[in-house]
Amino acid sequence: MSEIIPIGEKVLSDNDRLAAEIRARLARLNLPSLNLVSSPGSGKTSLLEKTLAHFGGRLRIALIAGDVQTDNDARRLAAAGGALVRPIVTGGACHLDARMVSRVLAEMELEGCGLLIIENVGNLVCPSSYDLGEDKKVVLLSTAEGDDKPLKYPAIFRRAALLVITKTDLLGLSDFDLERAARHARMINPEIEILHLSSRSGEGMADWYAWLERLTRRPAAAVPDAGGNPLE
Amino acid sequence: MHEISVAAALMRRVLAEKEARKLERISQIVLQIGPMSGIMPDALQFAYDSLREGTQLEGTELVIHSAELTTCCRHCLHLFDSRLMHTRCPRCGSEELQIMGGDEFFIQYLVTEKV
Ligand SMILES: Nc1nc2c(ncn2[C@@H]2O[C@H](COP(=O)(O)OP(=O)(O)OP(=O)(O)O)[C@@H](O)[C@H]2O)c(=O)[nH]1
Ligand SMILES: [Mg+2]
Ligand SMILES: [Zn+2]
Repeated sequence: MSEIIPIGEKVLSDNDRLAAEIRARLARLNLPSLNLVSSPGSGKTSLLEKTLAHFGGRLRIALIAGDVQTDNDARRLAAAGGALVRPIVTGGACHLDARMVSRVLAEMELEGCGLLIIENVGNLVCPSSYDLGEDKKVVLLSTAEGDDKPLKYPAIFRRAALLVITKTDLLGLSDFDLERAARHARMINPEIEILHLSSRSGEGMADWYAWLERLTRRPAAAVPDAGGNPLE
Repeated sequence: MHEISVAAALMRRVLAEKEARKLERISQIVLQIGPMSGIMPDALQFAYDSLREGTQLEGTELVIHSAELTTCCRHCLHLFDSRLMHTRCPRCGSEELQIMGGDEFFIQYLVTEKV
């Protein structure tokens, strides 16, 4: 005899529970946090290098750099002035998950930090499924990729609070259209904020710094309950 | 692709349910997956079918129900369901569209067999 047992639970609920613990810990520290996601090479590390140089001693930024095989990005960030940088080498996995982040966070001295930024593994698909306990996901899309990426890889654009269109110094070399990219992103997520900039030329960087400063000046947040990210 | 680790997480969850609810034999796992979930149904099916061999779930089929998207035209308010992304409203041709829903990724139910 067959019987139907309703479940209605998310498949990745184990990850979500750990992410909720991370979120609660960061809230207790009143530490805002970002999870940077993009295709390989869209300019995550370059943007962070410039960001470290810009804020210097004014804002202590804790960084976690995820990479499949190397700790190159963590080295680059330390060389750029990152005082608290930890690599996560996933050894093949195409995304970070809450367990990996939780393990590394446990060993970090976060007191005195004003911001935590996690650079995810370069991949536009897989990281979207894994809540890391961050406040906001930031998705980067470079003008060297197509402006239809939001429609092709909608999951991360749906979940991101901010879209940063990078490498605007290359506009004109491809048929990338800023307006079309923005329209496609808003089709998926009408609330998404959008900035465009070039780490190389410096164009648009002031908007990014201002966005980060707004994030770090937030009032002390209430500790969220274990419900996690309502979008997931 | 992360569907291998997702399939492994799925199997852990189902085995935990089996244990907690003292289920005898599970014949089917039924999932709901939406196009905005970031999970590719075919890849997950393939990963699950490879991983289940030689485990307690060897005889358990994975059945995937795909959820549809609802798209709304902001210009003429036409609402339509689809699995593919549209960039123009099929009624008025406007490009001002909003795509809703599609984030589903959960275990809907298990089918068990009593012997
Ligand atoms: N023209 C141009 N090139 C850039 C810009 N930002 C980064 N790049 C180049 O793009 C390449 C990749 O940059 P990274 O910062 O390493 O990109 P990433 O997203 O961290 O890459 P992964 O971590 O491997 O996914 C490098 O060769 C950078 O020099 C930019 O604003 N303009
Ligand atoms: Mg990098
Ligand atoms: Zn219309």
